[in-house]
Order: sequence, then structure tokens, then C-alpha cells
Amino acid sequence: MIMKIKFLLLSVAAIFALASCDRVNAPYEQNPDDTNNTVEVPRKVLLTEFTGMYCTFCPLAADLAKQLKEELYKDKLIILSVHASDLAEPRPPHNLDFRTSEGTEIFTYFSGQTLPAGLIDRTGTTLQTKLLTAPDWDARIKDQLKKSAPLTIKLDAAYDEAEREITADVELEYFNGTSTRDQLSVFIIEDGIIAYQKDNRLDPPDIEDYEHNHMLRASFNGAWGEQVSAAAAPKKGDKVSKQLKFKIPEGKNWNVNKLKVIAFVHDFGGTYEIMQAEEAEVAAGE
Amino acid sequence: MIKLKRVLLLLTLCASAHVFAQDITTGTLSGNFQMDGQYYSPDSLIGADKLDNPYRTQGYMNLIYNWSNFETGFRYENYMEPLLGFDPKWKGSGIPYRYITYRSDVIDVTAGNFYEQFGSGMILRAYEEKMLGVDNNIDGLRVKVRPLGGMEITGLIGRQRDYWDLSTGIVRAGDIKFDVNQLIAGLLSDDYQLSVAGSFVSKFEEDLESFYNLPENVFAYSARASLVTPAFSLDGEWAYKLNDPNATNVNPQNKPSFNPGTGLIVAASVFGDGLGATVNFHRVDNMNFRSERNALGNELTLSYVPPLTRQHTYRLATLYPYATQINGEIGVQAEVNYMLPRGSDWGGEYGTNISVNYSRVHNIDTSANADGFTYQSEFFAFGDKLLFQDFNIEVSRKFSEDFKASMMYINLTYDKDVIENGGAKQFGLVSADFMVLEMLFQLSEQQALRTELSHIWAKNEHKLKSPDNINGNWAMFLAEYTIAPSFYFTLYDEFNYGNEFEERQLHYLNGSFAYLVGTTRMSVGYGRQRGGLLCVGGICRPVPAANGFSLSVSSTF
Repeated sequence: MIMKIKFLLLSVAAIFALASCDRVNAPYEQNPDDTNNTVEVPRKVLLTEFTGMYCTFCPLAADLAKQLKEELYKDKLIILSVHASDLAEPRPPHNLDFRTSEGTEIFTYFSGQTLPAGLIDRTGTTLQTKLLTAPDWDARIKDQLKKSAPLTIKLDAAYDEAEREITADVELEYFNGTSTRDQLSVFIIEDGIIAYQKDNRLDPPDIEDYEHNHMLRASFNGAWGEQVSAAAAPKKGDKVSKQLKFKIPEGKNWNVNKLKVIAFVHDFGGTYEIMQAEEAEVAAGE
Repeated sequence: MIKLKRVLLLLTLCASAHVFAQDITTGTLSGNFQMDGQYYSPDSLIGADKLDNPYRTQGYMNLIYNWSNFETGFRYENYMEPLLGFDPKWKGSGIPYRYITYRSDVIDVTAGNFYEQFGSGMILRAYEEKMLGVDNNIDGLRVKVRPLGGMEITGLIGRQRDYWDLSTGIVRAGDIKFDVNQLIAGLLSDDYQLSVAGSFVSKFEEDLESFYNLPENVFAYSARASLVTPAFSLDGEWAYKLNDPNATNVNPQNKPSFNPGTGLIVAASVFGDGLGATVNFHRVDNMNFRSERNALGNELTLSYVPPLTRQHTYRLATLYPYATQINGEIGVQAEVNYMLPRGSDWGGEYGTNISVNYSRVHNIDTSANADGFTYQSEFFAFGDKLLFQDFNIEVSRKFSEDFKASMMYINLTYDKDVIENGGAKQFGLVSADFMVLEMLFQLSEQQALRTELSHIWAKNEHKLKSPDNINGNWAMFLAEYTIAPSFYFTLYDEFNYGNEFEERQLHYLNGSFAYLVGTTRMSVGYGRQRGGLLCVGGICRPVPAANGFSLSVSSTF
């Protein structure tokens, strides 16, 4: 019997040797730390946030994105909100359709199904694992900022009221060679759109005057952009300039004072990862 | 010298391979195969859109080889394009499950992938349920030791399967079980079977987040006991999880809960002549435990709480299935089964079974602390929100050698907002009454006909603002004609004639044919399938409505 008890105690001790635990006591919050990485070519990270007006958890994710930008990463984080999926489909009496063909194409390509979900510079080991739930965004952004970018982007955008046209001037400067797969995408986003949104934190869960920000409105060059250089792979020291124009279609009631342009270069057809991103407000033309 | 060593090594390997090749012929190879395919037709009335790729297939094959004390096996899976309702992350193919196990009287060792469950699963249940799109197997090492009769110790370490990847979190776990009768002979009479056990799980995951002090090692433990006698049985399990802030339990201010998790499950049963009765109680609080704190849905779950409610199988009764609210629920269930004796006035010639079941589940009573990260909860207090209530009675009777029938009535109250809508207030409580008459006619030695006539009266608390394909009354007819042992014909129609929206008052007509030969089954079907929740054991996944052909082939060898 004594042998049995000894064996029992030893067994239990052996099992618990595998275990360990951390008990966290208040304060539960810590000061957010943007690690101030010193990399050769700092990058800006693009968070593509998929959302929809009938997605009840999306405002929670949008709040987190806002918190990450305003309290932590500031200008290093660019947010692009893409309304996609059935949850973005207009239903009476909320008839505004914020979906775009480009946004839907990107959402479908990255196996989007549930909302909210986000891409951080479209990073991830496989196509299916690039989409992240909101709580995972922070760690992935942090990771990205530790990496030096192969290029910088200079971006200017201006609006010509008479022509209802936006012009984007993009200058790319390469600090490392990449490949001919590099594509430049340039999107138009709008802040401050007041419209309906569901939010499960409220009772009733309907907000008629929710402020939608960073909303994808259109693309200058399609869902996947255009090739940076068809002739040869960009190499160190290369500079590429592009001017793109977009005429706001008749009937589109966009507030030009709240428009911004986002430009990014990505590895189209390869990893799809975004190598650098930039954002600029649309300046009123002369 | 080095060359000589290499030659010797090569010879040794060849010799080993030769021995292996000889003995391998004495082993046994077994396995199974399944493939499901569907062609989706667009059907705007049920919200089935035109798909870019309307042909979807998924399938797998297991191969297991047993040889002496060894077992090894693997599973090849292919989700060419996952069926609708399965996460697109399943798309792909490969061998996500392979293992080798050595078994003896004293020790079992497994390297590779394995499934495991401690007790009811409150702190660990790594399992597979293809219908739900769940495969939470662990890839690692597991040892089971039986040093004494009536004692088994399990230790394991590994990472969980995450679609075609592995979790970033590492799971370390142990369990110790005692069969008291065997361990201490003579302590209890043979009529009493007593077992006690204890488990722990420790999960490691780096804290890469910026705003909170998150625990990188989350520890959970549980204790359980079971007593079985000829007259009654009693089972109980208690689980505790230290602070584990995670994505499933976040307050409206986006703050994760730092509360510990607790779980208590108690079940008592009595048996008698033709009588069986069971009473269950459980309370779970913040017991969502996963190998990654930010996983959602059915991904990477470690914890599982068995359902406290009856799992209905009649199709219309599955319109409102209860999904266990693992972050907070308290409830009771009672069930009485009685068989009216054969030959009695009420029992008839063959006897009559009566089953009465009642369950009621509430939220737990909580009050938030000022810190915004924790809350208080009185343990045995029922919260003010009724999540689910089910009263049902089923009577089944064999009237003759050729005819059997059963009837069932269900009264349900179902909080659709909590169970299906993430808590957002939209539908309110659904009140439903369900009736079914099921009859089985044995037409000849080989031919049988089974019919189901059912109806559900259902009403949402709130008037719907936008149409859906679930609300309101439904009627259903099903006929299943069998020519044993190989042919099965099924035809059913579900009619949502009471939908609040007239254009949604639709028929869901479906027909299928199945052919069985040996251990192989092939079936084809065509028709509309309604959407809703598909649940197995209190775990659910949403299934979209669909229209089209389906094909299924399965085989065991």
C-alpha cells in the first residue's frame, strides 16, 4: 500500500511538472509600446478591414482598428475598410450600397466568408490564413513594422472640381530589387460617411447615424492594380513615376473634402504581400 | 573506418527492413473512405447565389495498419472546393493526420496526431466531427501509463490542427484516473463501481498584443468522480481555468475578461423495472478555452461542455437547436423513461415506451466590477435571461409485427438572438410547438415504408424587419421506402407556409436514392435544402440554404 501511495505521489508530481501558469492581477492594461524599430526603410502597414452594415461585430473591430491607429501606430498604419459579403448587401429601408466590385473581388480571393476580418499587408503563410480576426491584427502589424521595406512611395492627390476628376501622382523609389510581379494599386477611400450600422453592443442594435470611415469607394486601376515595370524587375536605385486619373461618376454623391487616396505595391501572383503603402488626402484643385 | 561503419549501418538497416518486411505481412490493414459532392443551382428565393464554381467536393480516406503492438495510420483529405457552410480555409489537400502508436499492458505511446478527451471534455477535448467541419486533433506526443491495475496516467504535449496549419499555442496536459474497485480490492462490493480522476491542461501562447498584460501560460484543472450501483448512478465534474482573456469574451468597451473560468456538471440517474430517470445540472462560466486566445467559431477549441438539452433529430425540430453557451449558462434537465409493460391494458401486446424530458437554461447572474475587466457572479443564481426551454414527450409503440408508430410533442422557447445572432437584439425569443407522427410499416420481409408527418408552430417575439427563410409555421411530410438490404428511396417536403413574408412561403422538396452493397454506400439526391444551424452535441455551424444535386460515396474496408 505504501508503495502504491509513493508511486501515486510521484506520478502526480511528474504530471504537474509539465504544467505552468501565469496569474495576472490588476492592472490588466499596459502602456502600448510601438517598438520604434530602426529599420533601413521604414514601412507603412495597410490594414484591409472587411466589414458590412449588417455585421453586428464589425463596429467592435472598427473601434480596435481606430485604437491601433490613434493610440499606437499613428501614421504607420493605414486603414482601408472594404464593405463586402451578404452582410453588406442593402436591405430596405437601408438602401445604400457600399460594396465595390474591386472590394468583393479581393474579399472572395482571400477566401473571405465571415466578418469582421482583416488583412495585414496581406501577409500569412497560406492564402487561407491571411485573413485574421481583429484581436490578431496588432501582433501582425508589429511584425510587419520590424521589416525593412524594399521601396518608398511618395503620393500626392488633387481634385479638379470642373472635371470631377482626381489625379494621383505616385513616385516609387526602390532600395532593394524585387520582381516583375510588383503591382501598384491606387484606391480612393472616404471618411465620415453617416449611414446605418448594426452593433450588437446596443439595444436595439441599430445605429442610424454611424460614422463609416476609410471606406473603399473606387480604384484607379482595378482590384489588383497595374504592373510597376513590365520591362524588368525593379532593382535598387530604380525610380518609377506614375500619374493616374479617376473621374467620379455622375450620381456619386461623395464628399470630396473627406476623400483620401491610398497607394500600395504588392507581389501580385506571388505571395500577394504588400511591400509598402502610402496615404494622402485629396487636395482641392486650383 | 568511416566507410566500414557506413557499410555496417547499411547492412543493419537492410536487415531491419528485411525483418520488418517479413513481419509486416502478419499485420492487418483497414480503413474507410468518404466523398461528398454537391452541384449548387442558383435560387434567389432561398438566397442561394450563382457560384463561380458550383461543383463542390470534399472527401477523405483513412488507412490504418496494425502490426503486433504497433498501430500506424494516416488520413488523406481533399477539399477541392469545400461545400457551402464549411469555412473556405478548408480548401486544399494533403495528409493532416498521421501517427504511430505502440501499445502494451503497461504503456501506450503515440507520436504524431491524436484525439483525446479528459472526462466530459471541460478542459480538454481534441476531436473530429466532419459534419461540423471540426478537427481539433493534436500533433505531438502522448504517453499513457498503467503502472498499477486500476490506474492510468496520461501525459501529452503538442499543437492543435488549425485547418492546414498548426496552432501557435502549445498544449501540455495530464490526466490521472483511478478505478477504485480495482486499485483497492475489497473496499467496495462488486455492486458499486467507483472511479475518480483529475486532469490539468496548460497552454502556452506568446503575448504579442500591445494593450493588455496577457497570461502566456493558461492553466486549467478538473476533478471528476463516478459512482454506479444497480439502483442509481452519480457523476460529477468540476473544472477551473485561471484568467484567460480571449476573443470570445470581450465586453462592449472591447475589454477582455480576466475572470477565471469555472464549470460544474452533475448527473444523477435511477433505474428500476421499466423505469429510468435522470437529472442533470450544469453551470459554466467563462470556460471558452482554446489553444489560441483569438480563435473564434469552432476553431482550436480545447474545452467542451456536453449539451444539457435533448438533441432532437426530427427535421423540423432542428430548426431551433440549442448551442451550449460556454461563456455563461446555468441549467437543469430531467428525463423520465418508462415502459408500460407488455400485455397490460396500456402497454399493449408489445409494450409502450414513454419518455418525458424537460430542460431549462438561463444566463448566469453577473455584475461587472469597476475595473472593467472582471465581474462577480453568484454561483448557483440563475440569471434573468431565459436562453432555452424544452418540454417534450414521446410515446412509441409497436402495434403488430408489421406496424410501429411513435408520436412526439415538443414545446420550445429559444433565444435566437443569443444562440444565432451574437446577442444582437433582432428576433427575441422564439416560441414553438412541434408535433410529429412517425410510422413504420413492414410491407414484406424485405420491404418497409417509414413516414413522418410533422408540424411546427413558431412565432418570433419581435416582428422581423427583413425577410428570412426560417420564421413561422412549417409542415413536413417524409416517406422512406426500403428494399432490404440495398435500396433506399427518400422523398420529403418541408413547407414554410407560415413565413411572415409571403414571397418566402416556400416548399423545400427533396428526393434521394441510396444503394448499399457490403460496406459501401452510394447516394444521390436532388432538391432544395433549407438553411439553418447544424448541431452535433451542442456544437453548431451555420448551413446556408441550397438547391441542387448531391452525391455521396462511403466505404469501409
